[in-house]
Amino acid sequence: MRVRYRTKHVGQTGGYTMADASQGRSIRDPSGNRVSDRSQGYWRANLKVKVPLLVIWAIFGYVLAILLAEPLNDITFIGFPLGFWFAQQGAIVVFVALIFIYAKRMDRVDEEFDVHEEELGSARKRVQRSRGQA
Amino acid sequence: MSSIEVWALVFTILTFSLYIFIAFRTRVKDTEGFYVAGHGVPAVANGAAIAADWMSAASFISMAGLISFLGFDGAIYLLGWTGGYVLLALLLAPYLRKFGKYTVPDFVGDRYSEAARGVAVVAAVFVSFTYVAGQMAGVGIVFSRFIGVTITTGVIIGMCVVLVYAVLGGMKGITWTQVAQYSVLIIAYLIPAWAIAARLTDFPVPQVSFGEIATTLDQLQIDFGLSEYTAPFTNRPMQDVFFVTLALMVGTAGLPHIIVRFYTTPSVRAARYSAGWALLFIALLYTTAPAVAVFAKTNLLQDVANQPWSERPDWVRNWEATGLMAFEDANDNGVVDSITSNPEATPGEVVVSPDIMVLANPEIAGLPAPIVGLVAAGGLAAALSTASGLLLVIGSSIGHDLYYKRFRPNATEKQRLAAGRIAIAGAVLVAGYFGVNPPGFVGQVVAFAFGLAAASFFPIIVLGIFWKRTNAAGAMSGMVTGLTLTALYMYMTLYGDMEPWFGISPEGIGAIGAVINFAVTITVSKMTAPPPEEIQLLIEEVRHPRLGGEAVRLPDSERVSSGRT
Repeated sequence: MRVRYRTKHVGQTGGYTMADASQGRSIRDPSGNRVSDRSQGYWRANLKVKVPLLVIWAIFGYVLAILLAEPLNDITFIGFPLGFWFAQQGAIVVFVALIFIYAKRMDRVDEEFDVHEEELGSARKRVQRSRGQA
Repeated sequence: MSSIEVWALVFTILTFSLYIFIAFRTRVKDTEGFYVAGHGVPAVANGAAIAADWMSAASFISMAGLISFLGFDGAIYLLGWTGGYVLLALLLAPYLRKFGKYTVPDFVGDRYSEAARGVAVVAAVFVSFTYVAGQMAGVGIVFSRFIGVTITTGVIIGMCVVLVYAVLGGMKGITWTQVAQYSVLIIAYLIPAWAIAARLTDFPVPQVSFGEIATTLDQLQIDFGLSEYTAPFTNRPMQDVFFVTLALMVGTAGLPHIIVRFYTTPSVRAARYSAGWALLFIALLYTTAPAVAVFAKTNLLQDVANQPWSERPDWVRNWEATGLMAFEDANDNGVVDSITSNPEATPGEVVVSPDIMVLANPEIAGLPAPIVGLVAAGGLAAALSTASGLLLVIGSSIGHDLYYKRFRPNATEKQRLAAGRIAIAGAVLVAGYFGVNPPGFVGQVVAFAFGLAAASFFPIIVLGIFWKRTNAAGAMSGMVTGLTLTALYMYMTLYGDMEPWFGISPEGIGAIGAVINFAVTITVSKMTAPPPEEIQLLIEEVRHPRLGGEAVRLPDSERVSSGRT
């Protein structure tokens, strides 16, 4: 089963082999671009989006809401002690924003590296094709 | 029948008919539809389904009450049960969607080894069963409290409904039912909260207006001999709040019934957005809950504290009749001198079940009977939606990972679909049994399911994607050490009379277990051979939305390479 899944996918990448992939060289897509370089660059761009967002996540979720809660509680913010507000409201709002910012930035990175996907499109067709095969 | 019972019955029948109707509209004929809804769920709908999947009877009924007795420290639930979605969205969802298989054990098995798949199946089934028993019990309790049937009858009715839409529609049926259930539960939660905010303050948005009430509550608590409500770390030390929050966050990101929902989106991009929608929908309830907690606690203290019990208001009398509130006059002065929600830990003259805070809210606010009936339907929606998501995980673990992957790899599509249906039906029956006869340990274990998920799945899935060098030996040792140490610490502190280390409660140990799992996985992987080439290629593909075959459509290169093997 796994073998079939793998070969099918190798076929779809435009014909590079597993040995190519592991040595990280001479993987080329049909237009001759080196796939390994491009996908490495894409992965680095990916991490560059994630790391700052995770730092903000930790600052709001742990530093402001927990570690600094006691001193922050002396400050009043829209009627709340500030540390309490971060812990029970603010951090949650920031979490929601972080995910949407991530999704938006990844849209841009996907475009830049030309790896963006077509929405829904022929997903139905693909599903039908893979039926009985997977 | 009281008018509240009539309205609860009306809303229950209406919503249950809606669920069954959706089930018939979304019935499936193939395993792809049955396990991952044919990868055809749009991001917003998947977000609503995740939110319903996530918010259980505990979130809906109990959480606000728990927070009202924990004060600031209730933030462990608010932060812990929301922050995990940031980890899910950034570290797991898009990659698991690209992987595109049916279950969490599928990824563990393909990325590592068959043995690791086996461990993952056991962990997934264990975590899900402990969780689902609580949900079925919740269904029974809502039925008995609002409609006046016995708990057993309530559980059986709930089982029948879940059975119809889960067996008929699988993931597809469950998804669209969950979208409906989310709408019911959020309306049922927000309406009473807004009404109370409007009654207590001049601004009806509870998220904003509970600040001024919190200041009033601080003073009320001091007058009653308690610590300030908004003061941090009065119930748990700072390091414990920190570690419990971390364990809940990491555990959230490791819970199989949430992870599998990301397999259902049509694309990697949609998986990212659906995490955002999910957390937005969850945040609607989670930012309201702390307000409800403050309002309810203020009402409780104003109506009862330091006053003669004989002059208690009507809503207290009503809930006293259900046994959720009780007064025992320790010093025989007829006055309420102390209130507790956990009589075993802290004694008090009035014992209050935290559940009252949400259930009695509409009554305290003087809302009409139909709204109270709506709250009943909301509680049922919360419990049923979570139960169905968990049952699907159990069903797919047994029907797909065990029956098909381990024992019958040659099974036809028809047999596999039948296996999935039988497995879910079996899981519903077992869950129903535990709902009627909850084993004593379930209440405690549900909280610990997070710790166990944090210490087992999360580290090896993240490393499996972000560090190519991770191999099967490393993942196995990491999972086993993390699980064993976490479970051992929980057992020793709960039953073995061991003093918690550094004030870290058993709920928080999962965070340490996850760190240990990370460390062991990395060390053992470094000491053993790197994973085979085909696995490294799999990781490249998983990291990249289009490399090696798209999640959405066939790439152009398919035409170029046709004929190659």
